[in-house]
Amino acid sequence: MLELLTVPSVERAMIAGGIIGLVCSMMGVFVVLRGLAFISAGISHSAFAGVAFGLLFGVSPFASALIFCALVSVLIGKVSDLGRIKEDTSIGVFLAASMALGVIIMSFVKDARVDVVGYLFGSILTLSSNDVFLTVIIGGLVLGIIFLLAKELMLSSFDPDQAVIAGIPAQKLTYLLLILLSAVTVVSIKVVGIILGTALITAPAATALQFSRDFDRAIVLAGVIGVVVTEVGILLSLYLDTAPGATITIVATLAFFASLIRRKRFA
Amino acid sequence: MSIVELKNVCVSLGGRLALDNVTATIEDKKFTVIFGPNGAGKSTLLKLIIGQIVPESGSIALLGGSVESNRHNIGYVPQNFFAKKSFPLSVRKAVLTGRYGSRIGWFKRASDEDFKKVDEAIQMVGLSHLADRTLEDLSGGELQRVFMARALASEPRLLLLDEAASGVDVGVKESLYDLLGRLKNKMAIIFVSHDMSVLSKGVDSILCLDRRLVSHGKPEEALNNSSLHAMYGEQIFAFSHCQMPHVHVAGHCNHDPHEGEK
Repeated sequence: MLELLTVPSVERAMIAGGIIGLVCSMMGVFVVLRGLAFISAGISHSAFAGVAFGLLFGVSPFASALIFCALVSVLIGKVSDLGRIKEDTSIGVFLAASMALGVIIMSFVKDARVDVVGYLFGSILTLSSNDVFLTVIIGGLVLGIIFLLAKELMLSSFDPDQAVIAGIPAQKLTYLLLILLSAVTVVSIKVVGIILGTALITAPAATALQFSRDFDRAIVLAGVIGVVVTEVGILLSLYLDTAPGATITIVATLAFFASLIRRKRFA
Repeated sequence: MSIVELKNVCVSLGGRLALDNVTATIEDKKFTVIFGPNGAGKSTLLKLIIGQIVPESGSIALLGGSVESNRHNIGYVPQNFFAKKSFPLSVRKAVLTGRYGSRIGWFKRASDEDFKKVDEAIQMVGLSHLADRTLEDLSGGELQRVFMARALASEPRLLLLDEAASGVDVGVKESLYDLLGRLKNKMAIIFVSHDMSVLSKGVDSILCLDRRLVSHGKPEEALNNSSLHAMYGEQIFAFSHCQMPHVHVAGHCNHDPHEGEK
């Protein structure tokens, strides 16, 4: 088992997985507190159509997924405003439509080497050095923005009206948050895949919020939990010979249920 | 000096006229109460003052200038403070958010001076013993005082309260009114309310609203049978006792002032 950790593909998986676990979980605190978990599901599912576009036109599937996710995240908000419908309805429409569009486009992609299942459920052990580099860059960028704007993002999550009075553009920050969410969703495709994409964003953050009653500590704790569940998930998947993305998702879910039980016992 | 000046303001929300040609001037360092039935445009007027919405026609001036350039002078106590109870913040950190933007700019951290102002505001509302507790631990009345402290921590020139006395018990309401009475010489206060008992707490001016401006002036002038009938129907009457206006409800009121518009 220990020898496996020296295998380059496993090393890359552990490094990239740790970074993605950290970034997704810290972002997740904002997602959970704002009640945006479903929008995060909508964004991750829309990545499938983006990946399909990239594969069809021979451009980087991750770049096209990033553009598509960012576009869909903004459109969800705009359509909700225009049609005077609830946001969850708009997300439901986009989620299904993006997956359907992805399936249709995929049927035109004739390249037999394309690993559709890998995009859907993750393929962390196939990460290249370039993938790890991209993860470090995007992860660092997202973390930097969260750190710089932590106070403003927190206030616009806590009380958008007060944010407006304070001269903080709460709505623009919401769109920024959705674009950052799109970025972390895209980099997490290789780890947990499109279908399980929301797991790393919501479960560790929800777990941290069961333990911590302070916003700053909840962010740090979510990051730690995100790293731990991702690394434990990868190791377990190697030991049990199971799919890494699904194993990480189950570990994150178990951690969440354990936190619920603990909170109930000590409440 | 006027703190808010509305000139022929019209606002439509969702295709429905929420404010119709409202012209009014609200004076500095006065305690003004806005009365009106549900859907009268009271909260819309507050959103207009904080700059969350802009008038369709007409104009609004805050402290003689634009809303955008002066809204940092506003302290705001929201109506739905119960909804923020589950947010993981201590009382001190929640009150500190009142200084974000205006006193603690982008990318800056809170200074000792900020924490001093926060502690003073918490003391003013009598919550010093709960300063390190989380919002989740507080009762409705305590939570309301947290948001009052947050508004005061911003060192405002205009204090806006959006039905901040709804959903709290009589004792909490009384202590809020007492505090507002003490503050009224230091800043302008605009208080949106359904509660007529506030009238005995040193209110300087009343603005009666029913999408249009029904009446505006001193309590004994603005709150009369004619304005009450226009807002609530014919079974509510005003009378004066000890030089204060009082309101009498003559039985169950079925009158809907907007019936004709449905």
